[in-house]
Amino acid sequence: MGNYREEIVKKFNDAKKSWEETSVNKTLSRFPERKKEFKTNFGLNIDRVYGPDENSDYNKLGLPGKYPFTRGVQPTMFRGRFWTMRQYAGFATAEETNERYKYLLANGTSGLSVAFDLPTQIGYDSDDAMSEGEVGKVGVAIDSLADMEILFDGIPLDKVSTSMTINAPSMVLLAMYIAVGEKQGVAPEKLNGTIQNDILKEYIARGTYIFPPKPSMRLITNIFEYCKEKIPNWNTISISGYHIREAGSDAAQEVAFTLADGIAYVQAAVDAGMDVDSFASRLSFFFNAHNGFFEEIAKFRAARRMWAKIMKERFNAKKEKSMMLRFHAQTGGSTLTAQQPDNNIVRVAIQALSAVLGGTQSLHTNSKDEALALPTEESVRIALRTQQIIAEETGVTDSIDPLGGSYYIEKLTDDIEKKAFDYINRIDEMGGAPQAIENGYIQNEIQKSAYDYQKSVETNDTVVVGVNKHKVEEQAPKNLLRVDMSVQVRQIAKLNKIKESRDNNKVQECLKKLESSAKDPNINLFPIVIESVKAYCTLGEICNTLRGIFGEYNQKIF
Amino acid sequence: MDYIRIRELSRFITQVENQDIIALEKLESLCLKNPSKSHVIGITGPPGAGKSTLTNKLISEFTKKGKVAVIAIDPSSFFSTGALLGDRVRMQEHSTNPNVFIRSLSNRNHLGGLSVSTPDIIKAFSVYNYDYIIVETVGVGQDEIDIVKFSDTVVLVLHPASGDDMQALKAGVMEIADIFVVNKADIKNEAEKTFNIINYWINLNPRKWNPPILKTQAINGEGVVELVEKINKHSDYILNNPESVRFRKEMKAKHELMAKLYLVVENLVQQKYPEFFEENSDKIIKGEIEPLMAAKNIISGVLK
Amino acid sequence: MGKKIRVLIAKPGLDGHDRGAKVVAQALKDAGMEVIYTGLRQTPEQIVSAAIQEDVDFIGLSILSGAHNTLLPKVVKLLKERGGEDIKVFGGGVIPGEDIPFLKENGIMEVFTPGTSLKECVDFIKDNA
Repeated sequence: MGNYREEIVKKFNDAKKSWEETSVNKTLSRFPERKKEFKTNFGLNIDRVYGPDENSDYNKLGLPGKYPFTRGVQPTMFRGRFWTMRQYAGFATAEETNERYKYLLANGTSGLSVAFDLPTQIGYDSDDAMSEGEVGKVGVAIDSLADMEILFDGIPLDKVSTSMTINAPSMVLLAMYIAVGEKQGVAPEKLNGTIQNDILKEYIARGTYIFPPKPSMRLITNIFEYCKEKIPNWNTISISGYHIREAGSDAAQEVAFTLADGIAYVQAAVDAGMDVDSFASRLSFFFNAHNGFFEEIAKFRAARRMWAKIMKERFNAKKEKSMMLRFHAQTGGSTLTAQQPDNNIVRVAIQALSAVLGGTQSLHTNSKDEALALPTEESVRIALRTQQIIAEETGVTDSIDPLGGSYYIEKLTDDIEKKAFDYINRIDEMGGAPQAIENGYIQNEIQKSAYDYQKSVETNDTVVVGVNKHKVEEQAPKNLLRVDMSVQVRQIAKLNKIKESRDNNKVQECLKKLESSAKDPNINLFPIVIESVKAYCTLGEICNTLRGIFGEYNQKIF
Repeated sequence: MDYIRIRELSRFITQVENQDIIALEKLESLCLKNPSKSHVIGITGPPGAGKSTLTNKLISEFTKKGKVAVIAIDPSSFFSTGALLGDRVRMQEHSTNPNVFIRSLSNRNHLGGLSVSTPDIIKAFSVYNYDYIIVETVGVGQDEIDIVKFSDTVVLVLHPASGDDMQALKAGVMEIADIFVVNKADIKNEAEKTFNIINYWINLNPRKWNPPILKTQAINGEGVVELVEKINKHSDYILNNPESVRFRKEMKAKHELMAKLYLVVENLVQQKYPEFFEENSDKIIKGEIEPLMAAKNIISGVLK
Repeated sequence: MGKKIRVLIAKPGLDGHDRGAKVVAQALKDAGMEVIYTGLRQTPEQIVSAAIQEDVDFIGLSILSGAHNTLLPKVVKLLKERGGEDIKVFGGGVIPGEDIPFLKENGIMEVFTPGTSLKECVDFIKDNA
């Protein structure tokens, strides 16, 4: 067989050489190509055509559901069931968002994805001075368990899976979710969903951190530990490259920095004495489906293969489930343009297709108006329909990893893997992701890519349709969704009511216990936080108590 | 201090930074009427040692006793001459404290760790009665020793480092330190190693003032109170032993005199012959004239 | 020694998306300006104190959270109260076109929306310095 392959490779290479010397050169002499060189977004040259090469190796691919999972994590993939269509949504108060969720569920969405407002994400109550102007703006405002009860009113938690984009205070929000479940009569082990809980990328790219890295890593490990016992179906972390890419990284950097963060979380849990196979299957990932159609498909495949190797070879995982990289994808927000917003529908469709061909487990498609404001109901529906059309009409779901074996895709997959592993090695030399973040290395690499990209747009080397080419005169769009200032007023009124009606002695007792437990790094804080939210301690009260002990992180500029 | 006075000072500093002669003359007359009572603390050390984070904590301590000014200097880009000044990020919690004034400077391509105008800006803060003036040097890891001429106490901040990094620092920078700080002391083994290397170096190079070595964790403030104690102790020491800073004062006087001589000459020439630089540098490039010749011609032309 | 254009770039409000702010800061630096970057989560008070202490010519505010109508005018108002009315304020980020007239009425000199080139931003500052 080996000889047979060598023969094919040789045959192709010989033929290609003579083809280049004759046909190609002849054409080039009359019609030069559009560009001097074609490059991937991560900087490698793209060949005119790919064919079999000496690197192709069955072991790098495997079969769907089999190590190294290049072709997918399940044996039947979308022939079994489609990915979860999960639209990130939330705005204003719990009442309005609850209504939007019911609308989405009625329209065929299969999982909820909660967007919290910024004060919630940074652990401030709606009446905090820092919250001014921000309440309910980019997501729903949650101050206490009372808001969470309204948010999921009439939505049975044993029937939906819920993803929550929450990081620094993820323990508090998950505690509230558990408490709502209990009130609905749903036992914790019946709950399904994900918390993002990925603090490292907050320091790198997204910016909604609260505490310094050390106590933050403790909270994450506490969650891993608690959930493996009590909420076994919960994805305890969603290690996110999405925001790294949005901050300007290229595709290879997205994979590299995300997996480097993943390595740090696994290492922290192992260092805390946990068996790698006891928690690794609950780790999930979150990637960007960006422009660069083939690169993106290759990226998802490379990430799966790399993680499988990392878990098996580096962490000696034994269970196959521990080696599977399951991921959620979202189309690239930064690729949307405010100019000619309808064009965004097309961008989103192509990006979504790359995520599907890359074997995603769930998908969020952006709405066309998101470069302008929060999406309207109509534009959210088009975004969801885009996924449904890909699933139901295109037929791309009928065979698994349909682009596997494409010479080009396989080469790109190998290239991304190589470049990303080079980055991971460099990060290892620095002492791991937390150290590389502390040094500013990761932020600087991303910043460089972001600046280079922007400059390439300005020189028209990168074309953005409607922005630097094919422009038209247009009017400022109307009818954008707005969250008015009354939301903050209503939210504060609700908060005050809760503070009056709850048992304030019990609240003080809980917070005191939380404070003393936070001081002892050997105590798992999760049960205490659950007790606190059930006593209607507010998010701000809990986070401020922890701020007092852990301190606050400050951004660094390098 | 009210808003009007803060605004006045900030504008005055801009004029001083731009080496505006009228502003500098005003500054000097204020200095003569109002001899400095400020304690100037220089913070220097390699990049990434945690200078800004430490400065941030020092502000917290010093504001308990008086008004604090911070001059934070970052490098400029050689070609564009622009600069990204980011030290302030780590001190923003003090931004709204009326007793704290933070000013970020670019070194404007000046070597030595300070900008040309830094000594004058220190004086400006002094005449506006700031009790503590903290000067954070560029921190590019080269020999940044100008700071010793313009501060009462020099704090050298190091991070737990490999022998190589220490090697690079050995000469000038080590000599100017009045206090050594090993920051990020939570990296225990390396911190201990660094401590020992410094200790060894001090024993080899004995001085009258025996510089203390402190371990700190600027991020959570550990060791900062001790650092303040040592800074105060050093302040007392130089007060009681004025001869110990004589050499510094001499260097400072010469440095300032030279700088002002240059400024006066430059201004003089600029007034009479504004194109002197372009015209003569052009001739030098073309090989029509040599620089010393050109300089002499310019000066004799101006003095005519 | 000539005067340099000094610009403060800050992110008011709570959103952590600083890609735009950092790219603009870098471009202004490359255009020869001195850029003071104050980082994330800055209150209008912090921004104004910093701008006055730094005696900047411009303040650039990047905001993507939707809180622009509250926070940007507040910066202008505080500047006036504290003797910084000569400091020019511009904004950028996800700001709907229909909000721009309101912001301009409230003292924001220019608003850069997504798709603006770095050159436009640099030229704006140079033209108005």
